[in-house]
Amino acid sequence: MRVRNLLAPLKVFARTRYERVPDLVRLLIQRPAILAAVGSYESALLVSGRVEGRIKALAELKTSSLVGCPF
Amino acid sequence: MDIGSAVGRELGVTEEQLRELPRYRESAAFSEEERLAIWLAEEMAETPVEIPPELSMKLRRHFDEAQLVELAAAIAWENYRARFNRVFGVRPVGFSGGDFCVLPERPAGDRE
Repeated sequence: MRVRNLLAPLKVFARTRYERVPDLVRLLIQRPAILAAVGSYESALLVSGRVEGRIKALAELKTSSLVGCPF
Repeated sequence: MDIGSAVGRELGVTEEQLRELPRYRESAAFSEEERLAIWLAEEMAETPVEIPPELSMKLRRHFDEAQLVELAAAIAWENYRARFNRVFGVRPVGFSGGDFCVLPERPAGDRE
């Protein structure tokens, strides 16, 4: 389960063209301590497997649709 | 929504669930656990955040405390990400590759 959680974003990134992704990197790299903290939090979520990835993905999708984040 | 739809597919979210997300309460496409997690996400996107006692009770019936911590942490983080991205107008880059992508919804408070 956890391996699947980790692989899912990697698979998506691997098959995507990166025209705009550097935007996020460019923004966060200006504050390296925040970039590192974001990386740590994202990693911690990816290796947390007590809840099925599908359930977390649905909750996250609902959030981004309500907050209006197209990314 | 773009990357979320694509990653969700990899994690087993079905096409039907992506389409039915706005009407998850009445849709048969979701399990009880999925419905509760989406309901929690809906409440956590509100201001102020007030979790109805009924939701709290049902969540505790279906998830243990460690699971609830993980779920709330994931949803809180998505709020962080989504709100941060809005400041800079970070646009989708085609992660969903022409497949169905979840669409924006109006917050519950604006829906009357």
